[in-house]
Amino acid sequence: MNVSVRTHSLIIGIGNPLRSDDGLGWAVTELLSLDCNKTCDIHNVYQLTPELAQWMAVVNLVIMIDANHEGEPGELRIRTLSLSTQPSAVGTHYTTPEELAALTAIVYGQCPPVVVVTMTGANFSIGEQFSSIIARRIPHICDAVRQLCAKGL
Amino acid sequence: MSQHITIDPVTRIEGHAKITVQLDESGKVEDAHFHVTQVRGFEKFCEGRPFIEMPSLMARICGICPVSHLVASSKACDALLAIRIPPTAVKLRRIINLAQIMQSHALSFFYLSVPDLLLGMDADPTKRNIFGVLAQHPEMARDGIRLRSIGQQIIELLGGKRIHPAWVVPGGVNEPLSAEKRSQMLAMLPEAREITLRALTWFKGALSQYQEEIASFANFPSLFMGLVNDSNELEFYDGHLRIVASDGRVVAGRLDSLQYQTFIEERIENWTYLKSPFYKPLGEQEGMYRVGPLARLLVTERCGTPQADREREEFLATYGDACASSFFYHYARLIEILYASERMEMLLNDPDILSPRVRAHAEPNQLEGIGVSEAPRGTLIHHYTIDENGLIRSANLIIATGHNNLAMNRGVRQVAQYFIKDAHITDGMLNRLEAVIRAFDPCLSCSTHALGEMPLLVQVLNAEGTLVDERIR
Repeated sequence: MNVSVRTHSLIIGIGNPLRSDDGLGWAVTELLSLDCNKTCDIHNVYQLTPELAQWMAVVNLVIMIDANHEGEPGELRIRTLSLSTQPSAVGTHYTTPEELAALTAIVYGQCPPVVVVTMTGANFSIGEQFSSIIARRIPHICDAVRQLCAKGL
Repeated sequence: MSQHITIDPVTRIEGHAKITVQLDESGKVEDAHFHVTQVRGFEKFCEGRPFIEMPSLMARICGICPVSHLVASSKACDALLAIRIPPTAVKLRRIINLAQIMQSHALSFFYLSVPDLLLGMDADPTKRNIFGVLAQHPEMARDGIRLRSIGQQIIELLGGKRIHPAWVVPGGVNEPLSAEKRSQMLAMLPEAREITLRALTWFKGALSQYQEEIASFANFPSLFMGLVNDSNELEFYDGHLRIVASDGRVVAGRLDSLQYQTFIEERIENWTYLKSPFYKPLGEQEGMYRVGPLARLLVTERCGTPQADREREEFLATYGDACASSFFYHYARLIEILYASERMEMLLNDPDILSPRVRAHAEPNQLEGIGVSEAPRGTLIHHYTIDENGLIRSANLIIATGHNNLAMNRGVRQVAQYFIKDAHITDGMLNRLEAVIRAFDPCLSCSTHALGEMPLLVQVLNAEGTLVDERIR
């Protein structure tokens, strides 16, 4: 991954594709990568790590896509982070979107708006198949992300 | 009345463990143990699987050092095939292994240990982490992030992804290197060197503040073991094992790593899942050895690259008399990152590095195979036997952290005896108990464990097991 132009959005798919619905973030980014009109850089991760900060600092918008445990299966949530959040005492095993955004702002002096798009999964057991509701709803997440990219937020 | 102090879990290491400290009736430290409390079972559940799956399966042992397991496992499978892999494949495997060394050492130094070193062992534990570092020293945090990222990007360029790449396979690697990717890697390495030299300069200047830690962090005579090449230079992929004592005496100059069972014995304890290997000819007490960055610098006669050699010589000239202190693992880690960047550059400029001949194909020709390489934390051994159908009959793994188990336990006891003078425990004392373990950078396999925040629980129990004091942070 090498994001160097500050005119792009960065889309981060988060999850484990071997854990059924947890892999929806990766599936969404794969579909988005097929779009002809690419204005976004795409990256898939199992979890957020501090190294992502260097790429976040040089784009205009960051969109994180993840599966969620809370809510009704298939429920889509879009949340813009407050960049005033201060990083807390965490280690290397788990970093939240808020902490990563705060880290980016402190270390690189700037952080673009960060939007977290989640969908509530129904099945997180070992497997590579989505539950039927997530399989049906993945195009909706793609559309939501495309709209965010199109209007810059 | 004797007392127990329990630190559970130990934080900022790769995996889950706890420390218990046994106090005697006068409140002095009698003994201490480092317990590994997780069991993984990889040696067992791979039985019956086709041997060709082993590199991918074994890489899942760890999310931090999967490449190390990939390399050692593939070497064991090469032995099952009874083939010699193409020379370019060897060079490419060396590069990805060195990139792994770079990213893992950067994680250990900048993310896990710099908070102690930069903010102080007695700093507020809620701020003594990577975010505490970036708040006070953003340039150091930026360097750490960038250095680790360079190592990860090289792994991704070669293997297709940063974690669990499937590019290293039995018989070689599954895709040759392109000129474009080579250029991308070469372009990043000078920056990696600059960052490492900056960190070395800072660390050398800061060492004077850590005289107590140098004196007490697993600072005792022991053996040191690591791979060396035919010129006794630093070696991460092949070569033979060399064992030296902390006074520099060569105990075993040229051990065939494939015969490891003749000179390494693995002891099992009932209080930990980690095995305790020792050098069999000298027995358990005298045969305790250490592996990893410090051991590698001590068993070699030189690194074999200009800048790393200069730094190694300076280290030995300055601290040679005290080099048995495990606090110097941090120092050695930085020198090895420097070596990795220099060696990768040499390998990438090799005229054959873009050769398309990178894999040999064969059916299994032997029923037993052993692969040995150097992982970030030390010597890694994979040993498999298969049946006539190529299915795994048995697997034995000795990971670096296991090699260091006896030394880590003794180190915990030494720190406890040095810093704990009565039953009163401060955060600074507790952190030093964890920090001595952290100096070894143990990898207890984090790949399937993501606990998030890890609380530190310390309990003081009297001889009857009644809780007399408790601290949680």
